Amino acid sequence: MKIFIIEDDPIIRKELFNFLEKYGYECMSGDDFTNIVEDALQSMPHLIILDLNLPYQDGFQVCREIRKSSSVPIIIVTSRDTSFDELLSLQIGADDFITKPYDLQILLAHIQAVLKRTYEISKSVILTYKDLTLEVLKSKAIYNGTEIELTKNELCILRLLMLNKGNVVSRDEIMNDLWQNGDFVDENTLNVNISRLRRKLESIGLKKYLLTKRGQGYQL
Amino acid sequence: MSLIEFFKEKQLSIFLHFLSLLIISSILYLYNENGSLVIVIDLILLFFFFIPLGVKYYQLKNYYDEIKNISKQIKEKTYIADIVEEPPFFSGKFFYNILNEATKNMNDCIFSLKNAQRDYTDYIELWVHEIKTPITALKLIISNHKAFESTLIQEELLKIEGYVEQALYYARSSTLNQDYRIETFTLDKVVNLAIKSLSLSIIRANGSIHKDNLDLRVTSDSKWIVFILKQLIDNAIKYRHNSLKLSFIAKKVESGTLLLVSDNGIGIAAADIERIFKRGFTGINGRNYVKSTGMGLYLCETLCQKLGLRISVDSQESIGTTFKIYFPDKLRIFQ
Repeated sequence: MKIFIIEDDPIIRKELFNFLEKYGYECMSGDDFTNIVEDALQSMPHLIILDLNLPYQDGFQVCREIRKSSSVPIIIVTSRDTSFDELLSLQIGADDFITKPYDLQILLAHIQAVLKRTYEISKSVILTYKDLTLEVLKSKAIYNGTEIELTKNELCILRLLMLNKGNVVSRDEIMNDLWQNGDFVDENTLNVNISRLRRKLESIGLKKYLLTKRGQGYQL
Repeated sequence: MSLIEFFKEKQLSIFLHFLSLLIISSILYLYNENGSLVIVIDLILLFFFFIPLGVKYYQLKNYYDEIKNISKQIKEKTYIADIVEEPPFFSGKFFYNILNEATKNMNDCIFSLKNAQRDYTDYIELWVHEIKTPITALKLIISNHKAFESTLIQEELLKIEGYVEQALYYARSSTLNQDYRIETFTLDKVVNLAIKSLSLSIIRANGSIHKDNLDLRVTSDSKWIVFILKQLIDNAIKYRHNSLKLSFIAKKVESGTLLLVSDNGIGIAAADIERIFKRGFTGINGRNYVKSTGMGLYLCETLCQKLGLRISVDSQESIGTTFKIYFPDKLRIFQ
């Protein structure tokens, strides 16, 4: 899936590239804001992320221009958080609206939701690390051809650990990720979730895959 | 202006006039003992004395009644000199000119202050939106480049975001033109949003969340409510002892819905509780524990008022604090 990012801040652009490419999206963007609309349309993206605050012309203008010739889904990202901006964005044909400062996980959720709605193909999002494959949308982990079903929290924990590719992830971070998913678990629930996940991984032959780093957190 | 008041003002000239009449009458009487002629002369003199007095009274009364009327009717009293006409008599003209100058000066001052205030609010809005770009960049950098200190930095960033948001809402709360978006939503939605945006700080405070009956629906501006809840949660984190327990409970009450936000923190001293919603009030807790700005709760109450909600507080020292937000079924906003 190709995503075109229209954003004038080079650091934000770079970090978005960095993040979205980890999740398997192909990212593009342009520097020349005088013909950013043509640049965007020429690269035939599946989705456009559009910042409202742009040099040369503002994001509303860009959105209108794009809508003249294309129905590609557009997510507007802006620091202006008034209801007026939100309303106007949706009126001129944007598909979604997120205000800065946002969390990357929230942006990702919005991107996935818009793509799913538009293309109606739940393209599988697959992560792999050390021979274990995680099918995020199906909530399944696969190792040596054996599959296990994961609960929502287990999936969330495993995904975070796999994305961190062997780096230690602190308990606070894991809990924060679960909370961002809407489940405000406490310490004990986290312990239970971790030990269940570890047992499931052991049941498909992955012993010592999920490691506890005392006082620091967990690691794959 | 009543007739009595008018006569009171003219009492000296009336008194002197009657005195002169008395002297003239006595002299005439002494020289020419014809009483009836004296009376005729007295009447003629009286007549020509009271006619101009009456005309004057009529003129004054008309003018002052008009001013009184206009002053009662107009709301912005500083514009009175533009509506009242210039009077035809000298003393009135004199005061009219002074009033005209004074109100003009005052109106110019008010106008320029209002302009300055609006410019300032606009600048704050602009600044807040500008600062959000580097904050976003920082957040993206941190989540892409995990380091041991990431969560610490993230937590500090959350604080910056909180202060920035406070500034924005403060600027908004003092301007007249509001941008509300009133909709009906479940309390669960706003509570979740508030918790999620402060999740890291709550987790680091070992916090646990209890929610009950939050599927009740209320009608208000959800963004403002989330902001208010975040202020309350932030206070609960700041003024906690032991591990933080936060509970959000909704209740249906007569002609409205009540949201109770409780913590198990250090509580508020009885001497302070009356004043915690006052601007700049910090109290014992604000001095002895975490430095307080005295803005959070003030903003909560101001925003509640603007939204037509009511906020109140119950607290017991070293046991905890409960904030109650009352959402009336019939919404009255815009004063």
